[in-house]
Amino acid sequence: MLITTLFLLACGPDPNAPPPRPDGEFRVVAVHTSEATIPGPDAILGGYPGCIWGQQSFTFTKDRVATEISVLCPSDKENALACQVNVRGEAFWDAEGGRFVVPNRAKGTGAFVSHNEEEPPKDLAGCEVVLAKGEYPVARIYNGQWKWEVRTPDGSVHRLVAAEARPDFVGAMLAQQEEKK
Amino acid sequence: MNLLVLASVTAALAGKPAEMPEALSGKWRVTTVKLPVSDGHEDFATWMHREAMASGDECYTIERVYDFGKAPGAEGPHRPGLVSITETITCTKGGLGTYHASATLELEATWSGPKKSTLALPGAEMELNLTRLRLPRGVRAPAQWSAPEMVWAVKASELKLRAEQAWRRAPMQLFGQVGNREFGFEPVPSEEKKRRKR
Repeated sequence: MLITTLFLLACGPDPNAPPPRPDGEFRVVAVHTSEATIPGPDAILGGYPGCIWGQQSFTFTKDRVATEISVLCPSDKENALACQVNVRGEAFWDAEGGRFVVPNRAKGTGAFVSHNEEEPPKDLAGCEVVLAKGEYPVARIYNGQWKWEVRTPDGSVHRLVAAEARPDFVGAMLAQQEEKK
Repeated sequence: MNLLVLASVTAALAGKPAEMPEALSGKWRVTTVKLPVSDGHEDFATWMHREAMASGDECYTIERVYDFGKAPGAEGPHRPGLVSITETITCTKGGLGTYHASATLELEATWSGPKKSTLALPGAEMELNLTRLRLPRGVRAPAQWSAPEMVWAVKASELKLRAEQAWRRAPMQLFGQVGNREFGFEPVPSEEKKRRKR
């Protein structure tokens, strides 16, 4: 018994060991800055006045980091437009440091303009996302389910959960309608 | 005699090699492209439309613009540290009508070579999506129309720029070689210049 306990203590997971490399798409559920903790959707909506729903995600692979922003904004009484922009760039995983390193900054901006006949051009939607240059240290936390955190080069910490599905604009719109009732 | 006059006028109007501008700024639209198999430059938008038709795409590129940023405050050599490249496509789709989608990638630029005329950009890729949703009437789910996904990728590459000018006061033209293709650029008038012209 004693030998087994000693063996487990010696060979069990090292709490100071760097986390494994995250793989796949993760949704941002909260953002911690030096001043506050903001729910993920609110962190996005701050930059999109008038919009009703927003979401950010990160996707990690062996040699790439991607970040994506999706926003849903009403365009008139009956319609809403969802804009989604994803930017991805080269990255490498530093296994000892438990972090991704993104060597180059990339900013992606998208804009849609309506050009229907007999109508002046009309802005429909726009959204942008930045993949900052620098280090992205990650941490894995177990609290009933595995959660991840990533610190972006601006110093804010993004709490992540594995994204089980792509952004659901229909669900977001229906939820907004329910809230209004 | 007439042919001689015509030839000399054409020669005078053709671009002559010029020095690269000391300061590079503003927006430059890609106007022409020269492929290794073609004799001369052809219109960029026409070429992009033809490429899209050949591959059966429902959308096609109508414009590509390089943005070298604002003019520097002081005189002297200037090359921007950030360069944006915008690709604009036009699409017609039920539920969305005719629309233009613009994808802009802003990347860190490195300049090298004589007169710092070679622009190196790291590779990056972006995806852009638009979905229109119409509020449900009654208990139904919202109706939705999705635009075809737009992918805009800039490969890690070097653009070797050279300048041409037909005569002293003629507008400067830029040409940029990427691999075996050469693109022609012309400056996009700034909003201020457009206002002055009006």
